[in-house]
Amino acid sequence: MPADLNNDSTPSRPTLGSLLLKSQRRTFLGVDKQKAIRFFFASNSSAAVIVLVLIMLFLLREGVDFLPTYRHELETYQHAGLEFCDLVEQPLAEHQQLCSKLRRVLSASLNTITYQARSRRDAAYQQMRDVEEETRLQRAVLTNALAEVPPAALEKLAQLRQELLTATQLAVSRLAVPPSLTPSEGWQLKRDLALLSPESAEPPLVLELLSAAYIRVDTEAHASFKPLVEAVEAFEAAPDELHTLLNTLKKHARETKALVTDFHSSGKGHGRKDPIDFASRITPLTSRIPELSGRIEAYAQRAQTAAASLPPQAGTPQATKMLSEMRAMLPGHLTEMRAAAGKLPQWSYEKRVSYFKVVLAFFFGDAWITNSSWQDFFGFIPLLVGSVLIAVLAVLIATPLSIIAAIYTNQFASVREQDFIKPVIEFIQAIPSVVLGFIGISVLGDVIKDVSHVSWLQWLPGFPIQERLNMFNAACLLALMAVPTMFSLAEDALNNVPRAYIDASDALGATKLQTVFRVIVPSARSGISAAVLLGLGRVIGETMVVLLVAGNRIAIPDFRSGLGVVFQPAHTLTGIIAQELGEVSRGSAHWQALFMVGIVLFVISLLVNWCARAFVRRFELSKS
Amino acid sequence: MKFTLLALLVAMTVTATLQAQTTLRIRGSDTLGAKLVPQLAEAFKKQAGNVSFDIAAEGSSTAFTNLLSGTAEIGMSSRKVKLDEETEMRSRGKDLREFEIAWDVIVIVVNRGNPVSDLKKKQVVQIFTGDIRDWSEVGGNPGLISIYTRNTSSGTYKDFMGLAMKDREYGSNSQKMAGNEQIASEVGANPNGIGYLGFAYAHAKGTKIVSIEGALPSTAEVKKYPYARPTFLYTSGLPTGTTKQFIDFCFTASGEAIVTKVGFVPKSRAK
Amino acid sequence: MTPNPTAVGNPFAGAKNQQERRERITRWLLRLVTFFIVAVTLGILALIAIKGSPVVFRSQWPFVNTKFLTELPSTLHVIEDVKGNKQEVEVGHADEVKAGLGDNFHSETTISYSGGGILGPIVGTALLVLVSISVALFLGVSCAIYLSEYAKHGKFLELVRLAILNLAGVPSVVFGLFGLGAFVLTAPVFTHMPMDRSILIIPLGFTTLSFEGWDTCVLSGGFTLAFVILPVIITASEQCLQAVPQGFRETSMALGATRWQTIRYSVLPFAMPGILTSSILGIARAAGETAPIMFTAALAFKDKLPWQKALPPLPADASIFAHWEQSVSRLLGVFTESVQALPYHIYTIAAKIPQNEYSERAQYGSVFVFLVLVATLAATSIWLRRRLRAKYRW
Repeated sequence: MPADLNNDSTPSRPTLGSLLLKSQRRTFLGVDKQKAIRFFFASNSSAAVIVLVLIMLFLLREGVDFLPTYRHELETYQHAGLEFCDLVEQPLAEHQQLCSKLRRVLSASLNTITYQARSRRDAAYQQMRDVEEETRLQRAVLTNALAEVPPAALEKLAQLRQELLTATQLAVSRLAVPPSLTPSEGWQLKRDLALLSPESAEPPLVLELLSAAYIRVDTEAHASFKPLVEAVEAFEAAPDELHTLLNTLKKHARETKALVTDFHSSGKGHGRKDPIDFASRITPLTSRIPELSGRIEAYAQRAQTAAASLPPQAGTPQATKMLSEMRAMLPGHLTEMRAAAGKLPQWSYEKRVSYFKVVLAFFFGDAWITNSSWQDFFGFIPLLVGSVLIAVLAVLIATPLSIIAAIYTNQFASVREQDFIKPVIEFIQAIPSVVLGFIGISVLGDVIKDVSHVSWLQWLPGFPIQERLNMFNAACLLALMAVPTMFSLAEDALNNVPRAYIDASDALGATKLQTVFRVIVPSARSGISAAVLLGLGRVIGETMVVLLVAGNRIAIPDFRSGLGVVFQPAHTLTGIIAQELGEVSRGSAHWQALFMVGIVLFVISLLVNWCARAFVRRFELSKS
Repeated sequence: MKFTLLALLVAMTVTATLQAQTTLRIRGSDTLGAKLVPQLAEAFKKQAGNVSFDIAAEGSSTAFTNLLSGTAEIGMSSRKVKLDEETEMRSRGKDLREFEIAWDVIVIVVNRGNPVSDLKKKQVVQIFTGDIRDWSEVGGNPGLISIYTRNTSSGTYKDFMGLAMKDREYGSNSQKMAGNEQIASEVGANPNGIGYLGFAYAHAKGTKIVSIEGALPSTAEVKKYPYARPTFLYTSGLPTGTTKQFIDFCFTASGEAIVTKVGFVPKSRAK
Repeated sequence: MTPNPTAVGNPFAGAKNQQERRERITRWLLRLVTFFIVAVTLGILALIAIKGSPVVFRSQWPFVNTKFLTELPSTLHVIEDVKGNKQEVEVGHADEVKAGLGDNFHSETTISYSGGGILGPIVGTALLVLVSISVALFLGVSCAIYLSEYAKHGKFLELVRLAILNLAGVPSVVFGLFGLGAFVLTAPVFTHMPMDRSILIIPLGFTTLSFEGWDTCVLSGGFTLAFVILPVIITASEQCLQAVPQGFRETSMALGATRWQTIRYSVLPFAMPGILTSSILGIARAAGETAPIMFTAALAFKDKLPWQKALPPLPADASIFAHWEQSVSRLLGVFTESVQALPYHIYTIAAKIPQNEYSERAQYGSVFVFLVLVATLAATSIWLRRRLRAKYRW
């Protein structure tokens, strides 16, 4: 549009009309009406820029104090000696993992002997619970009547008892005796269950017999795996003394921390107290270093002895394998413990916590622990991993679907098909994300879980799954949300392929399929990549679906399970803000940390946009 | 710019309407706010007539943040106020008043199909801290344990740490759920799930209450059960007017009847 | 196919057949994938419609469950008698029913938010949308006018376009954080008693202007949503403005009109229908967003409509002015209350109440109504746009 149309220079000889017009053209502070209007629109058009700047500003205003606050928290963590305790505590946590393995080995071994007795007992108890559940109404009525303070009339009680009996008999008659019980036991069980009443404290006789049988077998099993049982017990008990000492130290450290909190909060008010003398508070900890190292060494020795007394073989091959795994892990763990003991004397409470360290602790911290009674940590990695994993998975699902749909709709579909497909896919955009989240919670979760229990699908990694709410569930829904964005952008890219390319390909005798896949798609490649990237941007910023469906487990997923990792629950950057922000007090470290997460999200979205634009620009260049 | 003009307009309306607030705004714990307090409110409204309630239950921490900022008349909390929260209130010249309205029992639930029906206290600690990872370690069928906990601002989350976990940290394999009901439905759907609930929510479909060292939770002898705790209402300053009437109502016979019905134990009968 | 004599002995014939088959199979595979997406979408919609429509519609006159659409959400009481018969009772009647059952009463379970209707959330969403679309249309159309009618190529234009693109990509939860920081905690208000958190207090003599924020209310939420949909509105408006033929402007200019007169009389009237139509899409988007209103406007439960606030009763001899003032403050007060909103209500009932046959009704009913509202808006927009396109063909 030519700009000089704007130029309203007055003619040299004023006409009547121009005089009239001129009379309207009043100026205010040297700005006439036209300029004012123009300025008004220009200022409004900068709204988008202003909003972007404001978003950044407000996020920074709330979030930027995070670094000093968190630094202060980490310093308190250090000064109060919590870090000192964690030096030992953290490597010691592995002991429990080893124990866990051993307990599983033991249980699997015992199971080889006790399995039958146990499952018989469990099945019988399950039957009793089923009957109780079926008759819970009548039971409750009778229990209430029995508990009444002037006792209910005898006839009434009798009548209620009769009702309960009828209901129980009905429930019992519907029971299917589990195959693990013998017919005679089944018959006895049914007979005893039919007489169940709320007054009888003891379980029915058959159940007692089955329990006793199990206990007998269990004792036998314990006897036959005696070395294993003893070794496991010894191993579990190995750090007891160390724990006792550590708990005393931890209590002291916690008290110091409480003093610090008290000091700072009273500092805001009037009665300012004396600053805390950290040096004298820390001596009770450091003075016990020799004792602590001694106990660590004792623990290591004991653990080693216990491990040495473990039998080479466990009850099942799997258990044996786990046992050798545990044995392989033990030396590393003990070295770590000894290293921790070595670190103790060098530890100093006074070391400064640099900002670099704080930034590191936020961006590379592997724990997000809040509202803790020990120490809050704001580590960003578990959330980032969750977000990225879900987003990538969603894009992996959505990309082939939407691009194939775009190719089909653009190149092959008849006009009638197009008129059907396009509005439907565009309509997905109008489905609010919270509705999809609801679908995930109420329908999709159960569907995925049921499918994972189908027997001929068990070869798939991670099957059968046990969590309804997991990353895969969320990713499926997010993929659906990304489809319309990716579909329409990819279709645009296909449309933008110059006609001449297609004609040339046709002229060379290529079939339709060859033209599409060897000419059109490759030349739309960068447009399609941009579509994928923008889809990724859309998915990573989505909140409600992941909040409702992803399972909200704040931990780095366990990648050892291979591809099955996608069926684990996770928490996300967007989800954590939505879940926790409404509940923390303004200005606390937690509040600021959440705003920091917001800043990171904001930056990620800008980056994704920038990348997509870069792709498109390359695409435009290559076309010209 | 128009922006500020609008802001001015808004500002005027804010000032015009701020004084006219007679609604009781109640904020805080989900344990209290999802069932007990709304029902007390409904009953109170029937009795007292012209009162309106505005209840949001996002977790006990929000009780104190809202009392502090003056956006609530009553805070509900399923835990006692924390030291730093109290000092902060005091430093802003607000005097926190505490009313213990009921005792709540936290029960541990597992899936109905789970053969485990009794746990030792130590095992509970170990399970929720992630030391025990497999059901076979406590006598169940092999399978990884899925732990469902409340989200971190919940009073139950914090209380359970103190009551059952010896103040240790939740295991990293725990999943943070939005409320009691969601925990119940997830445990009901997951054969390897375990979670904790307020007693009022304990009889959900597909779940089973686990006894702790042989003791099943009961409202008759609530303080004997290891995981029982008092719940509170808080006000800033001595309650007056409708706020006072409502709090007094909670301690009347009809108020206590509602408390009992919902599955809590009234303070007067907690032993 | 008719046999082609020339094909005999053609060395490529077999290959061609094979290739044709391959083409056909590939084509079918592509079609299959495409229709898979379509089927999933329609499946979800059908599921919601099948489970949700019985809640909303009735087989008898007036064919609509008016209760569900005209009542506020409340707690549903399910009363079970000793025979195991369950009946659902609304809040007010629970005691009567229990008294009626007498000794036969067994137990009562309560399910929050599952009784009553969803009028509160609908009204809240309408208010939020009203505020947000007013702000967004005002800013968005002005911006589009500048971009399409005034702006020359240059740094500023580049910057604005870049900002619009980036704004469109900002995650909605970040908008929520922004709204919380900007509107809830910082926006200016007139007050006699500034709060502690105010960051700037300007005394004006008769009152003070304090930057202490609007608290969570319709205005905060509406403004936040306005910025979420701003890019949509700007882009759509600009397209509509540019669709007006250049000749219209040139004719107007040639007749001596000023630039503003040209825009006012020769461009906007022709672009406005299109702009309004496209802004309906913005409305649909604003109505569907949850994360931006979580911290700025939405409330899980409220037992009154925004205008039913209890105001102090006026004295009997109050002047007509006092009455007038009170009704005005009641009207404007609507915007300074936090409200229930449909998307947040759905979040609440999806995450915080049990999934069973009683809550399912409220859940699917709300989702169905919500989806129908949003879909109607979107469909109207698409339909109107088609009609407009047919009408204004230049």
